[in-house]
Amino acid sequence: MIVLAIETATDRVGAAVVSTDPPAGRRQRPPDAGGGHDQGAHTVLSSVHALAWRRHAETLHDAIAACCRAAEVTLRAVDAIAVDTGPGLFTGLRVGVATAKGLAHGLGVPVVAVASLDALGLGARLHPGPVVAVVDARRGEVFAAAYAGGGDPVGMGLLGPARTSAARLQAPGLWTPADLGRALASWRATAGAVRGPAGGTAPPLLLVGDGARRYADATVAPSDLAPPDGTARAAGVVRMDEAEIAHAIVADASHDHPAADDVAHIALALLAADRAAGRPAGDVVPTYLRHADVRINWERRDQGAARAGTGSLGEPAAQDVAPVGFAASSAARAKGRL
Amino acid sequence: MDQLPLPLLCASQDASQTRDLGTRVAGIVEAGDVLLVSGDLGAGKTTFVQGLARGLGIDDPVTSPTFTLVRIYPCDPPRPAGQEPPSALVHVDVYRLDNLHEVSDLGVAEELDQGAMAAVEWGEAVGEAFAPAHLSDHLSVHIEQGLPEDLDRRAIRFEVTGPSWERRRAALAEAVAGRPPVREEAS
Repeated sequence: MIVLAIETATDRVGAAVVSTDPPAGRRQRPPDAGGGHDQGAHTVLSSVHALAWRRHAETLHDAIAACCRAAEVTLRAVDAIAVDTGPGLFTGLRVGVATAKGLAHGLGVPVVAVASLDALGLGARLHPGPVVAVVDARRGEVFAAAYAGGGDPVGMGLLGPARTSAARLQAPGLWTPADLGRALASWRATAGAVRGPAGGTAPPLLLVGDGARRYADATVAPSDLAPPDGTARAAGVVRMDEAEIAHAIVADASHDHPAADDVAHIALALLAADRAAGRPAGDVVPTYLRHADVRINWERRDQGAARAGTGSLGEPAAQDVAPVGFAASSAARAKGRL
Repeated sequence: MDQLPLPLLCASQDASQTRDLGTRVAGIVEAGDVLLVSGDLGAGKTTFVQGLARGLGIDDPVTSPTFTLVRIYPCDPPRPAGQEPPSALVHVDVYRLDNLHEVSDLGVAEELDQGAMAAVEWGEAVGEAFAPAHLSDHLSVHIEQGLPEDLDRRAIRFEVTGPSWERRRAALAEAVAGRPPVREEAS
């Protein structure tokens, strides 16, 4: 089985082609020839990533084409499309999800939705302790999820037979950096309890993602980062080799974005689980953690439309507008709504 | 906010004065600003934003985004040193949307984060999508239509919320001066 994975949840665009066939079954390649590597039973045939900022639409299709060329597969050979459905940048998710659905429809193959935070967390699978994936949600907030990690260097539980929710200490949610910072200690404790007393110092909690670095000062208290000799240091990016002396560390920029490879790995696990359970593939939509089900209070719009006698969206008859009570009523509205 | 926002009312005799008001307000907007522009259909919300765009040095014709939802106009207005001018005007109309997640879907937050400013028509109903509790800075612009015998007349009410706009309250009052003030009131 060959999966094409699409990643557009952050400023970076990615595509990956991953096969469940062993490398030798596809073409002869010595294990250390580069270009592909094993991830469990999967082989990454190619992956392409590029910082797109907000030019996802212009970048994604080139990335997919380049990725297929490098993997020496045509789109016709793809058995499933995996797509990161966020949470993340809406400018990116729109492009990624639309492209995935379009390709899947054209090719007659299923689409598999993968959570951005799962893919981001999986990128830190080699970290010995718990992992918190943090995507910058803009406007002073972050999307975050926590994973026990540590016990499973291959897949952090994200690639096992259970669905990904089993691997999470905390499901994806919208946080202020300060609230996230306050939650870190409890996750570290839970992860320690889940994994049992290992003896010695518990490994530190690792924060990964663009949101983790942007708000490092707000989430990780300087005391968490203070080395034992008491040397004061500002909260912020801490090198991996300082992990032993910290309770929480923030990964460097190489962990800012989810990788399409990891989207593919998780999608293959989800596909296998769905197949085993006889579940059909579901619909794929971007993940809205902000205002997910909040209907807009359209009292004013609908009143205006009714007054205008159209009952819908037509142009109003302006003379129907009542002029009285303007100041008081709009003050009340402003207070009620905001 | 300890201090209640003080509304500022202006009278506009016709569309050109509404447009002028927008142009004057353009002189004090900064990167990341959110203007929630409200008023019934035909009140002059787009007219106000057209003036705003003119004041930001945008030459493109500004039309109502009722059907396109969002239009982005890059701009680079001059500002005194130390003030960050908006890099673009994001003109939004949420009239056709029914759920706040559709507003999120427009990606306006990402534009604001990159230094743009937003003018949101019908914005009073979706303020929380742009101004979450911890980041509540915004300017409300409410346009009320006139008496039946004076259809061109408008009352335009400005209301500031949040520290960034509180700071600019005097500048806002000065910017819109020149239009006859109806009254200043403490609510």
